[in-house]
Amino acid sequence: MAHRLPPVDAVTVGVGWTGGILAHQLAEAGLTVVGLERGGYRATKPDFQPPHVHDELRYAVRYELMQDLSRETLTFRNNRSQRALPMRTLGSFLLGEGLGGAGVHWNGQTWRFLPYTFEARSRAVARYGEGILPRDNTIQDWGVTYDELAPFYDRFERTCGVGGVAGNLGGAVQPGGNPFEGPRGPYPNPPMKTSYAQHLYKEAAEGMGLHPFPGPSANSTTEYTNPDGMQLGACHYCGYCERFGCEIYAKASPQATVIPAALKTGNFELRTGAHVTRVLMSPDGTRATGVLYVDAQGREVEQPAEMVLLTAYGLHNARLMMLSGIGETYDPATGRGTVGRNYAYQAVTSATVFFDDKDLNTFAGAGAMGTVVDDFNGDNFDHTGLGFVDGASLGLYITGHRPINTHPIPDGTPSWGPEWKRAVAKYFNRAATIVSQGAVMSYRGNYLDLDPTYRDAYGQPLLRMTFDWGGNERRMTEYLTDRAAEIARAMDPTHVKVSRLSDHYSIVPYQTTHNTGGTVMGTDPETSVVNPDLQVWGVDNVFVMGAGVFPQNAGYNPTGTVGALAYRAADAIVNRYVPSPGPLH
Amino acid sequence: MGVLGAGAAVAVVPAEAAPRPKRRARGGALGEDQAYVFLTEPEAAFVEAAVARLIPADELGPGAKEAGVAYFIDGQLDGAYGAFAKNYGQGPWADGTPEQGYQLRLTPREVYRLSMREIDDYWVRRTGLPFAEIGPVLQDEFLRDLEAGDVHLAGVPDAVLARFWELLHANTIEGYFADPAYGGNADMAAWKMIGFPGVVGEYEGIIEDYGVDHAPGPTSLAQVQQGEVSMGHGHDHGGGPKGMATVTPQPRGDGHGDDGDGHGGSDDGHSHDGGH
Repeated sequence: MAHRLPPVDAVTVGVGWTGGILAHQLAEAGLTVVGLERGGYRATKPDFQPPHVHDELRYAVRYELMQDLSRETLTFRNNRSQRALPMRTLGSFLLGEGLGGAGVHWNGQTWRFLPYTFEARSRAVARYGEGILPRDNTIQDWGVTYDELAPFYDRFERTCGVGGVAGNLGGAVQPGGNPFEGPRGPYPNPPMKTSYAQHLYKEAAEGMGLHPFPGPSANSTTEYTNPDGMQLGACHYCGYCERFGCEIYAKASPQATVIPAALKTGNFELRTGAHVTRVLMSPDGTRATGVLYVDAQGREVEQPAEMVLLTAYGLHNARLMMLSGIGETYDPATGRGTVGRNYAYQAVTSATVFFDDKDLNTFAGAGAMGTVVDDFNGDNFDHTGLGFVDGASLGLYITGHRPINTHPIPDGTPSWGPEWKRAVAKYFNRAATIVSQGAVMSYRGNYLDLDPTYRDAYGQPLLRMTFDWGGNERRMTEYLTDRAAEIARAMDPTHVKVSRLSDHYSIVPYQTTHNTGGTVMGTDPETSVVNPDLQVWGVDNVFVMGAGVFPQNAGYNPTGTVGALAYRAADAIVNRYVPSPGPLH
Repeated sequence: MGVLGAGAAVAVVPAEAAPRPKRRARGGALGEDQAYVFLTEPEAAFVEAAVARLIPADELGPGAKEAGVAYFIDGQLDGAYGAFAKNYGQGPWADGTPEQGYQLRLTPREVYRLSMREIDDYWVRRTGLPFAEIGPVLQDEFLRDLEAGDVHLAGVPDAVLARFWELLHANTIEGYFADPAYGGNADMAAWKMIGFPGVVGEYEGIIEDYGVDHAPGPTSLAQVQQGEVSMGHGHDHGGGPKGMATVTPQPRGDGHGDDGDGHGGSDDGHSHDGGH
């Protein structure tokens, strides 16, 4: 029998960015909140301190901060005719684990999605007609507009001390920023510095009539105190961001911001090593009564709660809903059900420039030190006759080249031997990559459900992912990779190496940890899991956070939007749901 | 392990019998007491020979063998990585598509052991010598065939050989460029060769100084830990930004978040045991 604990107002399943944000906002409003984190406790000191944190093998190659797949992984196949097999090793994306979640090892690239993105279907159809949308697509509007979300983007950016140059100050386009972005206020911090490679990229792009700007960065550029009194250090550009924790509190991370803020309220209790196996439901399935978890000692514990907040990674939220029988799992054969529907990802291609005569000091960098061209993202360009919707941000980032993972060599170089060695020695410090971070649309056949065969360490079915590139991604990346290659050549390098989309999506090589969908938001319960306040349709006291709520993906990093949506949901919970529990839509 | 051909008995490993000049463990240079803990003598000879072809010594710097990469691989295979410890090892087992990735039952340890044994058997049958002794021309040719998937041996499935190549290639590069603490990259020679500064760096002052090579000489984990080099920030300041103690969620004693502080105990109900 599970040990039953006294009830609380709210429980968060996972304590990373969204769990931390909700815990802080609800606890500050006087609610009692318990945060259940299945991983271990971690803090900036001593866990992310130098020198040990500057260890490429341990963190970036052996995945010190990532999920232990021996306990839980997922299964994967490209389409329904295949048998899904387990993702036995990490590769395509890196799931986080431990307090702070993936917010510990992110890069800090903190975007606002374009106003277009939130109304992707209706705007594309209005401008180009239904025919532009790919076959079998399930693209849909989000049920929230950019203008509605803007104040919450502000809040998340202030939490993180985001630095950048506004390109659209309240409707007035500004020089040096992104002219395509929605109206916004000034950034809390100035932008990051511009490295030599970025400078060359910027000059080349400007020469082509494009509009490069510094990528918005949650690697704080000043010593900064956020609205919650949390202090961030100024980034030293040490080059150890992605896959690492930040030792000087410069990269905004949950364990340095929202989690301690929540703890300071006195209403938040954090429990690590607490693995939630199920959301407990009332007999009629309309209400969650709490969660069941296995604690660090292996005991089964029941935590009753008035509200259950699913704040794990998107993939985990979808699985937990399926395991708990919340909502109906999507069936691609019939199109019925919503949980697991509209899984999407990103289509990443690139162009690498090699210079024989320029030292770029690429060992020096920061996770969000980049220069970006947004002229080919969203609907920022005319898609007439192109045969696809949406696009990609084209960014040249110097996140810090570390030699195991990054030792660029030109095309035609052997993969080992003396020529390889000469090329690596020559170009380690003389190459940089323009990445096309492409949006991925949603399709009827790309989805998540439970695997019929494989199980986790607790005996529960693994999540099964069925995914491949759709027609939109194939046509879009051809066009976008050509644009990246054009800018690359305009930088006047000795060599350009172009990387295009794989024939089929593969779980093997690292691409991006921007998995979306599965618990999508919307205004129609037939095609969405949560309403625009991220409340589950038909189960009023369960809310679902994370990029799983994106109906399809955009050509940007997701965390800015994940944070903004969490602050907006917290606002709805505190100001509308708590005074009068019930459906918010 | 089966006994290999007569040639395999020739000692190639730099073991106690052939002491190296004593070198200080600065930056993890090969020490006189370096020994293999997982690889057997013939296996060590195989790995040394293979990594010496993958990254050869030349005028740019030492090759993988001289940098100690075989010791790196030995250590990796002996540890959690070699045992597939953080990876999913439950059946049922089935062949997948290339897009579904690794689906073999064998751990990296077993992939190396089985593949090396079969490859040595093949070369002993063909030439009387194990792979380590067939010479660079045949070794290069064989490694190229292995990379291309053109090697087929009766005692080991093609998929295992493909995995062996993948691991051998990746692990050689890892060992060459990883911190010397892991056994390879002796004297940080690989970092010196490419201009990578290693574990220490504060670069805000050089980011916008274009066209000048600013790579400082490298620093290793051991140098910092032994106090030969200090970190420029954090470590020495002993705290985050001013007032950071207030955000340390594990109040301990002085509450100032000094080094060694904050990995909270059981007094606050946080557990450190749950996640791994």
